[in-house]
Amino acid sequence: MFNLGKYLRYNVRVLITFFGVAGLLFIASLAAVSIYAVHYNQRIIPICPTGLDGNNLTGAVDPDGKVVDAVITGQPLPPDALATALTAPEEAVTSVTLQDMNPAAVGEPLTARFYVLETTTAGAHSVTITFANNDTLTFRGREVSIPQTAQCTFKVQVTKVPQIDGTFSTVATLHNIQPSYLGFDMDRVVQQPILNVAVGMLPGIVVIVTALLLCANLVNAFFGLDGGGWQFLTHRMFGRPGFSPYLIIGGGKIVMGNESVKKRGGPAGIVLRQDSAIVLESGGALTRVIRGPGFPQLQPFEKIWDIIDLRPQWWPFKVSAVTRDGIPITYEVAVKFQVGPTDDDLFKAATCKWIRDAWRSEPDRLMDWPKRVIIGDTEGTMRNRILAKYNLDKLLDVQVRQQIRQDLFEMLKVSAAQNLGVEIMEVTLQDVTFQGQVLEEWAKTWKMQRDLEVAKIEADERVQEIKLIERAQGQVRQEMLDSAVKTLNAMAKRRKNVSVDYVLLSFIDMIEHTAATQRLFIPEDSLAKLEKLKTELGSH
Amino acid sequence: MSTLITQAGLTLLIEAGSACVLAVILGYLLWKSHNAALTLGATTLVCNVFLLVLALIFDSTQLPFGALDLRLTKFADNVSVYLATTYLILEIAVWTTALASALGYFFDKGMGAGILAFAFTFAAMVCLVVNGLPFFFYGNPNAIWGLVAAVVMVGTGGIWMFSSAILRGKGVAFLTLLWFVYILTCWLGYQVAGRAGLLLISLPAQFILWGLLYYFAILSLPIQDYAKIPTLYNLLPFGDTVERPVWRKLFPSGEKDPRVLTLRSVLTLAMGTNYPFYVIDDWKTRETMDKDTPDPHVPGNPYNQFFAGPGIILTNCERLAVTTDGLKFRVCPPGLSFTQKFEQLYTDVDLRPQLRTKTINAETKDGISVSIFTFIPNRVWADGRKPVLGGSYPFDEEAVIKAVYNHAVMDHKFERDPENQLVTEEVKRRPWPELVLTMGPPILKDVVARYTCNELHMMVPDPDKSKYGLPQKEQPFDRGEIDLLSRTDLPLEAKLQQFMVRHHDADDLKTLAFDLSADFSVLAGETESELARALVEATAKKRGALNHLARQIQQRWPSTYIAQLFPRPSTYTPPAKVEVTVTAEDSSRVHFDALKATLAAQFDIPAAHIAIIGATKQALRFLVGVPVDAVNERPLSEIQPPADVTVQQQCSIASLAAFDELSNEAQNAWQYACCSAPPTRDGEFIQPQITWEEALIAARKRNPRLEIARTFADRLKKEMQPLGIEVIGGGISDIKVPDEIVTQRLKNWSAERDRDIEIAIAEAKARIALREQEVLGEVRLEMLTRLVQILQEAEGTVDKQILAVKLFEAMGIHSPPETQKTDSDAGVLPPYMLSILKTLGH
Repeated sequence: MFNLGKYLRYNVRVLITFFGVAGLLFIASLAAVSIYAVHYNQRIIPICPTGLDGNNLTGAVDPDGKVVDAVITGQPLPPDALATALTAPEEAVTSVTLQDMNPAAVGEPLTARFYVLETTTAGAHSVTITFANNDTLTFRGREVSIPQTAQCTFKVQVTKVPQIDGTFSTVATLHNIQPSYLGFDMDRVVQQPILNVAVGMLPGIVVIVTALLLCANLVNAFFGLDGGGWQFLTHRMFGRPGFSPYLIIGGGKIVMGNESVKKRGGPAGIVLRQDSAIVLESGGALTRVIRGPGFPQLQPFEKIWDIIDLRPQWWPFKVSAVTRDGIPITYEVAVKFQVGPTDDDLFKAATCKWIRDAWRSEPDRLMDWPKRVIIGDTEGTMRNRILAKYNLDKLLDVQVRQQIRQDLFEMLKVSAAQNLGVEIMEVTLQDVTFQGQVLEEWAKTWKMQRDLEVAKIEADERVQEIKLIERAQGQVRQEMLDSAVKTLNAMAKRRKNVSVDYVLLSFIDMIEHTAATQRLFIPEDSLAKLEKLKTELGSH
Repeated sequence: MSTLITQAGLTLLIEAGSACVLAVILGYLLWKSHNAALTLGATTLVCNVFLLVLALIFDSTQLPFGALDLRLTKFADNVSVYLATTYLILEIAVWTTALASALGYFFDKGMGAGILAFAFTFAAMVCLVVNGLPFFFYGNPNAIWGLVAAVVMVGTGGIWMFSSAILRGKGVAFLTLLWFVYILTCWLGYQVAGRAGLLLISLPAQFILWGLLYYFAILSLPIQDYAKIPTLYNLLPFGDTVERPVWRKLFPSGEKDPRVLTLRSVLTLAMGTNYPFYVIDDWKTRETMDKDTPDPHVPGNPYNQFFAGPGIILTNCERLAVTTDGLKFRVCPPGLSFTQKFEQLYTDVDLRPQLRTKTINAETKDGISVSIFTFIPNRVWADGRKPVLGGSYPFDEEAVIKAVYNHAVMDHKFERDPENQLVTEEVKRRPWPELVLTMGPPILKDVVARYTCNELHMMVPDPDKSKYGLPQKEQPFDRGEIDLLSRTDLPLEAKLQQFMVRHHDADDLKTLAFDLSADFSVLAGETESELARALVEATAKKRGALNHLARQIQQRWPSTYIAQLFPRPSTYTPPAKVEVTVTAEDSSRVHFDALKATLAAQFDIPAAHIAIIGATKQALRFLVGVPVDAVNERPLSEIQPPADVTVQQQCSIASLAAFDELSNEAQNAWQYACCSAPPTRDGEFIQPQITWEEALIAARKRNPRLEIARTFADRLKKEMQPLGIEVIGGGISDIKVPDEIVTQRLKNWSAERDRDIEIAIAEAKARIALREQEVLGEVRLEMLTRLVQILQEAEGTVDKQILAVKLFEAMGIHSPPETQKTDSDAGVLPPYMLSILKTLGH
């Protein structure tokens, strides 16, 4: 299932995006930081005194300007007081002072020496040396001074040491010397822009993540998912790295798979077994029909709308009906059927579904294609088109049963194929049951009686055939003798002896008469001979 | 004023003006509308003026803008934090008002722009004031805590106030997030690159945020053509099969474009001011049946006014949603739809056929109550269209509104307790699929009322006398038939004909004639006597056909009378029926003789042996009767044209099919066409009277249950159409009659069985009687032959006495053993003969 090519393609897309976005953010940040670096107004670096005597040198340097002034105060100057202090006339120095001031050139330091005067009182004195440059801005042709400053702050501990001569010498030490800025640190100079560029990319990353989270939230909330919105959006943008998420479909149902795919749809993979087919839907439209087996891919938001079981179905079903003569019966029918071979058949089967009342239990609420074949078509056809045509007697006939089967098969075949996309494979008729046991028993009894009657009649006919022939022979002889005697009597009236001739003549006469009345055929030559015999006997 | 007349002040003014221009540009770009541009410009202008006026309150010592070095970097160290932050707040604020106006306009046009811009201006004002607190109250110009406090205050209290006042308390978390993300981006931007960072980092971050929100949003929902939205997947498919990207799918076409609404949804969902989100699938089950609408996946209040909405409805292809704002309804088609302010889901409509069933009690024409189980599949009117791949289930918008609202009824369930007289009343909207259960029963009752109880199951109209009434055992003969049977002057044909007229109606006789493949001239008869005479005359011409006719009658309507008249089994085979499709110059008629000649040539038999049973027009089809042997001799697939060219021109056979191989439906159609609309002769032509389609339709109506079902469905369909509902099919199941009637029918059936037995016995007796006659004749002939033979043998050498003895022996009378023949007695009859003759003579 793992597809290395797909995985690599996915990662290539991710990497392209990653580097693309990171590159853009980097460029923006780099540009900002570069501008910042180029236009950066470098700070004044103060040089603070570390002691007195030889170490009392102080000053400041502006790498991109000129330090023009220094002022010594007890407390740091507020920004708005700076200009006033710098321009104020020098007052009488009583405690500490800067002397030997060497003016600076651009990029060069301004230097001076820090002195503590003898007149300084004993104790600790806070001292701030403020240096200022000559930065200005031009506004409407007028220069406005906007000096940068740097400070050295420290405490001067002054001690009055009594001398032998009764005077006091002044001893001063500097403590807690703090320059406002320590000056260049090469490591920092290098690291700061890199850090700035990196941090400058952070807002972009923050908003990208924010946007993704907000939209993932929409996906999760809208489709009622516990999570996976983020993954969905990444799959949407880059495709899927592997087969997951997926659904496995077999036996006409979802065997297993990801819940989010069921609810939201693709992008996802499908393992579609050979016994199933699926109809897909997306954005309110039916999109595709896919017959298994295979591994189709669900497009974004494409959902499984219906699953069709491709296996042949066998469904025995009892059809209640009323015969043509109004007698209720139940006929059990079994139908074997299967969805047809074309996509059109699959589509018909999927869309033929009827929805029943909501109060029904779930299998019963949906009347899908197998139910429509059986409960709809088979039951309806059998009841209204076939059984309704026959009287109850006919339904008991074996040949009619065969006809019913054939009729049902043909009717179902046409209607199921046209309306439901279903192929009827076989129709079998099973038991017919009547309403109530009594009727069933009665039917059996009647059939038995009828069989007995027929057998009896047939037996009688055979016996009577034999008797008939015997009786007929006797009857014919009697008829003939009667006829002959009748003639003889007429000839031998009042005679004591009857001549043989008379007897023969009477026989001949009887033959002729019988042949004439019964329409029996006597050949011409036989008649001629009889006539001749008659003439001979008559001459006697 | 002096504050503003500085480089920084003027820069701020220019930036404020530029922000107004930006607002106007955004208005044109995003909404392409003068109104939007003007509104955004004006709003930004007003807000910025307000901010700048606020700045004027401070004097130049409080806000010494003149000393601000406006490079693109951070402010210099000598600039106090208070001054720098104040300026930054003002600078960011004047631009942000433009963005806030645009965002507000996106939500609620002018009102939204005003609210959001002023809210942001107020926030900026709070920031300015709180930021200045350390300076003004504590004299510390470098304290940053004022700004931090301001940001936090706005991010918590300010947002809470805004939420309470505008959003009904919603969206606090989201707005707080947005606020702090915004502050974070500004702070980071400024920290890493000063004011250049604001321009190149913070501002792009805002564009990235809103751009990506839009882009991810349009990827999040199945909007139209979502597959064509460019993504890296479809831009770089690397061989995968993907939809081709279309760049313009990225851009909305208007403010109601789903892309825009999707972005709104992302934002309002995050704020909690969204309208309800629905994903509607097959939700209505046993568990949810009491609900009118499904539960939303994300709840929301459609009455939220500001920065709210839209709602979303996503339906599958088989259903749609109907929404209402209280004034009008809107149909949301299958797929994704967005709802607007005040718009609520009224109901959803399942476009698949809805099957509803009901057992309806009805009264027949003869006043018998029957119960009929009916099933009525129905759906919203779609004019018979079916779903197709690539589309949704079909529907008609107007019909949907009609079904769900215009004709929806409220169901009242009113019950009064008989004991305490307390009433329980329940009023519920009746779902549209159940309207058929309101409209259907009266229609079915009306349809059933046209049938008698028996006709509900019979294939033919019920005669006035009830065939299934009290059992009426048929008498073997009535007086007239006894007379007929004994009359020797009447031939069998006449007796059969009279019997047919007396016992069968025209329909019976027509069906019989059709089954016997009688000519159309026979079937053209209308009365019983016409039909019976024509049928008997036609069959009497053929050997054995009359007996076959009689046996057919006996088979269908068993009678002892016919059993005795025609006891022999039939040996006659009636002509086979063949369906012939012909082509002729005129599709409504064919030259009769040419047709017969063509058929004669086809079957290689004389034209007289062919019977034209029936015909249909348009596609000219004929049902003809042809001797079975002729049909069997040659496959019907082989068509033999007649030799005569003229005949060929007048008529030629297109195809042939055995009637038995036609479908039941086609066979019934032929029966209808032949019996009810036989063709006529028009001079030399034979002219069919019915089309094949008409015959097919009419033939189907012969089943009363189908006829009832069809009439019911047709009428119901017409009734339901104005209500926006399409009845698709519909039918009835068992028609259940009262038990007494079933019992009576069973008795009748039993009586018929008894009659069958009696008839079988009568037939057997008749056969025996007939055999007696035959045997007598055979014996007579045998005796005569023998006697003649004896007499012939005696010719010439006549010994008369011996001859007489032989004759007597032939008659079964043998001479006694002691009798001796003597010469003296020659010519005299022996005494034993004399004795016998005397006995016989007496």
